[in-house]
Amino acid sequence: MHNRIRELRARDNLTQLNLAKKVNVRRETIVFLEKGKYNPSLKLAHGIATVFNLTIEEVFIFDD
Amino acid sequence: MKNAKLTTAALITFFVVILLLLILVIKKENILQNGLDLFISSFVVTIGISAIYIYYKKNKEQRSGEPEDDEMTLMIKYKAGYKAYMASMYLWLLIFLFRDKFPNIETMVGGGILVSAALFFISKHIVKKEGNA
Repeated sequence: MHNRIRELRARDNLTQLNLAKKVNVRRETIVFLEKGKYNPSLKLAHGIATVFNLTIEEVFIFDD
Repeated sequence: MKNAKLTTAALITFFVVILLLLILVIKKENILQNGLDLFISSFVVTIGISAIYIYYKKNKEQRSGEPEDDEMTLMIKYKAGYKAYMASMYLWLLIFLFRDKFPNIETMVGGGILVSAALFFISKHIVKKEGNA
């Protein structure tokens, strides 16, 4: 699974810390998510997608 | 806020304990002549320095409004705790197998506890590197 968090953050001009605060996680978690080293819970994935006004599928792309 | 205060109190207690241990070790200079005790002493100093660094890092993060723990850090702690527990069991088995190599019981138990603590930090580092993806 890969995600578009970095790209969407740049689009919305959000820093890692800003995004982390919006979804109530540590900045470190955003770093791990962007690196693809951590698969978030459904709750966090939903929270991130909501921040970008997108659906979970549009932010997190499941590879076959 | 209450959590932040508790963490600060726990960290201060930790520093005080480390400081007391250091004073104790330095005062008993004859103990430092023993190779194993010298290793343990340097280990305690390393842990003390790491604790100070972690304290400042945590304090900075708290001031920036980051939560103390989230789902990823908790996952890391649980996984690292399990790994460290398993490794510690083998460590204590080895310690008891080679118990006659230790100068006294205090060095053996103290060293074992310190290495167990180090195992947790090493496990944490490994789990962080691995991730869960």
